[in-house]
Amino acid sequence: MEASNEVLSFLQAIYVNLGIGFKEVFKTQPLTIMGFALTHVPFNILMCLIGVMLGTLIGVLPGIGPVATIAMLLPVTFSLSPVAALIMLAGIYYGAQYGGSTSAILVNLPGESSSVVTCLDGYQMARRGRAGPALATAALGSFFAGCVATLIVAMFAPPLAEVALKFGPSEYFSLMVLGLVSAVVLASGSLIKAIAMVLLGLLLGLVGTDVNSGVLRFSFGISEMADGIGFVTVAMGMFGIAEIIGNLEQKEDREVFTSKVSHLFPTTTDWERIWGPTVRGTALGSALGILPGGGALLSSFGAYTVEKKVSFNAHEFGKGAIEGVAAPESANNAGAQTSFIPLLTLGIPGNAVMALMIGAMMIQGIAPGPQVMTERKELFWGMIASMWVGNLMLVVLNLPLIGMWIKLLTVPYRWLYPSILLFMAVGVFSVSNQPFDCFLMSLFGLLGYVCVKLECEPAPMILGFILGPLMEENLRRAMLLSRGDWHVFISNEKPISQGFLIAAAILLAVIALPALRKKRDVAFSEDGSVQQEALAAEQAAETPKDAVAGFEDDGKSTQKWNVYRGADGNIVAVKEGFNVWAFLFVGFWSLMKDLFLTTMAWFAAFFALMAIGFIWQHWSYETFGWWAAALWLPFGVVYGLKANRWLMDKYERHHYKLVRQVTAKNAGIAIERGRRLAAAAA
Amino acid sequence: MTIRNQKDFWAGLMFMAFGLAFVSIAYGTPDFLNEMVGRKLVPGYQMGSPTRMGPAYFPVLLGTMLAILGAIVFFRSFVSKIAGTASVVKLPFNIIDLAVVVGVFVVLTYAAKWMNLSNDWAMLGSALVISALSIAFRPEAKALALILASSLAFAYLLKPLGLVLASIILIFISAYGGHEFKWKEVAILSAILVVFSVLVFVKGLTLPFPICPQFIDNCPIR
Repeated sequence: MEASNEVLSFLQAIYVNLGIGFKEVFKTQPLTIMGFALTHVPFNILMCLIGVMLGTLIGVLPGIGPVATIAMLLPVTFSLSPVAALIMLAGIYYGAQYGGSTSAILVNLPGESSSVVTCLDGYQMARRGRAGPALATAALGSFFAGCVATLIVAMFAPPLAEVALKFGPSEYFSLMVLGLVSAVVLASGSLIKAIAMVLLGLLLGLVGTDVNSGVLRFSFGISEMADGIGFVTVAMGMFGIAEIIGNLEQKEDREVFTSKVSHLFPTTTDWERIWGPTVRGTALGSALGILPGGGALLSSFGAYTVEKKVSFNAHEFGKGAIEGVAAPESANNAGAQTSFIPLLTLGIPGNAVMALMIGAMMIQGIAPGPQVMTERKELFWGMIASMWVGNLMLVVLNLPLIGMWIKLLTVPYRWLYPSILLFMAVGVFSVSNQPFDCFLMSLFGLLGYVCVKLECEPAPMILGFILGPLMEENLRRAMLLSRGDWHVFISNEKPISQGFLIAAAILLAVIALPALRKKRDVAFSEDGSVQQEALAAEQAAETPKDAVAGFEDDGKSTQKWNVYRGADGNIVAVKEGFNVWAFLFVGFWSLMKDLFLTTMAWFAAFFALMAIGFIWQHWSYETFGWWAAALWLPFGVVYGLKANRWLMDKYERHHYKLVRQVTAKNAGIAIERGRRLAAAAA
Repeated sequence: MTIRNQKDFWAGLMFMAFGLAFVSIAYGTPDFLNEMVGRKLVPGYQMGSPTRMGPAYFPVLLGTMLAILGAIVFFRSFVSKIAGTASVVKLPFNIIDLAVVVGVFVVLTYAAKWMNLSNDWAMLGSALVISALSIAFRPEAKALALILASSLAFAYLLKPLGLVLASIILIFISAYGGHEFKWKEVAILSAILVVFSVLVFVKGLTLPFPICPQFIDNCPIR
């Protein structure tokens, strides 16, 4: 009984806290701008607006990403309140995910690295005069994903923070090891080089005064180095300056898609095709965003790959399939937002942007970690509420403003980079008002440029840089507590720390396997062109092969298949009889098969029954599993029996014609035989 | 022994250099070297014990690991299977150029000290010399040199010359590093950016930057 009350009070707490958050976001305060005293300025919402607009702007413009922008703006946040600062910076990150799709669709240039896959189908849609629906799909998908991901952050962050409050130094150290290992695993290129970059970052993070002994480390007698190297300096150099130099080495050619963007709104058929990919992309993006080292980039690639496997229109991918826009665009937005979870609950950044957010929090005098949620309630919940408001602003503002963004794309890079450089120099200089920081920025710019040329990724280094002092501190404390016993991290008395380290070891071992490495190399390479080429090659390889033996009826298999042929020549096979997958996965199976009604029916019915059970207080967390199983079973039986019929109905609705019934061992053989029979008939 | 993968070769060298540098600064130079020179070259920090780690403990640990990984990458470059174009490093400068750049900084720093000038002038002079050298001898490294030099020039000229002139200098130098350089365009661009940065950074965000050069007593912009 009490447990169910806990569930209710948990939901109630979220409701109340979200209220606090929205109040914080819409708070008004007096403000003086250039001598004009204004009362009641909704400052936080203004900052949110500025953040998302700026994010969209840099998302649209290729050659400048959220990392450099946030680094540039960090000094500006000095003068803001903590809530306003974090709201604005967060807005830049998810705003960039919206903007990135615009240039991907219209110019075939990813404005953001996470929009690389959007180019594949988005640009093809634009070439067919369907740029409008593509842009609308990207914006609406992102909005849906943003809303869901915000809810997920609100639901999962508080319990996670409660767990994190129990962490000691050894747990923190092991968690950071896990985080760094995942950053390495998710980086592209050589594994050893990525680890080396992490170590280099950790070492550079140690520069400056040692907190425990007061010794100046690695400062070469330079007084400006006593406080250590500024994070902004490193980030701007490694990402900003290195990127500008890299861009200048390539010849500038940017052709804006000239066709007018009209008919923004998707048609009914489009709606039918995009709801599934959007939901799937959101789910996948939310999951991948939470992982350390994850975030927007990984999510969009994952979503595109999954969609190509499961989509009803898989054969259209790469030729302008709207699913290929909806899935990655919703996934990258979801991933961008859920990557705030490890930051807000554990105080550990999952990617470079989150590392910068930690920098912003430290500037404001807030120690990132689980205590933020309890001690600075208005900050945490204000940020979550602002994400929702920001997403709404983005979708409302972006669609009408698309014309303006297109105009921006025609701004030549030779005007852009001096401006970026000036802002970066001003930003770095203003951190401590010393020219030496700009010198360091140039130095790191050179290092970043060389690293890119040597195929060493800067992203893991940045993570290492921010975690260096934290790791040393926690290592020292843990070793002090254990009296110099190294077993403290893997002893059975510390199961959480042990678990983290085992997970890190498994990750490293798994990624070292040759087969997986190849896949990782293809999927996570940060160079967009390589990715596009790899995906295109994969697509080419998947086109049907001819003359494969073994498609004759061997008379052994009794499994009947209905082979359907679409108007466009696409051939699919549906099994007769009971569908085990539908029985096991019910609503999730329908979701994967794009069956709208049955998906909605299952989710609505299942959750409604669960809610009734909880509210009547007959259920609790302990018995939850049994009730859920009992509910699942009848649905499963019905879905298992009817599943194949629904599939066939769906194909018939889409003007697929039944070619023939065949017996075959599996779907591949059935499809191939169907294709041959169809060819013979023609 | 032929280098089969240049990228790994240089990356390995770089990691080894960084790792050994951190270890030797943290741990101090080894005894045989000290005896050879007759004094402690680098004093190093305290190591401490695992229970009470000194300032040198963690850096030595990490630096050793980095040097070992660097060595692996380095030796891997001789047996790598990825030979060919993918493994060629396309850097617009070589290791000797890099040494020359470091040399310019060192020489000018000492020259400034000798002439009793501020180190800022040494930095500015080095930026100037290096840009000139790169334009003359390494045209492919022009973008790299000028972008870095422009941010250096901005930083060290901001206090004496003020935001307006320093911004204009940064924009002109960096624009000169690009593909095409048009006087008119850059002039218009710098005018817009100067107005913007004075309004936003100094007026709006109240950053404590001087707007006008030091030698002008009555600044027209306030």
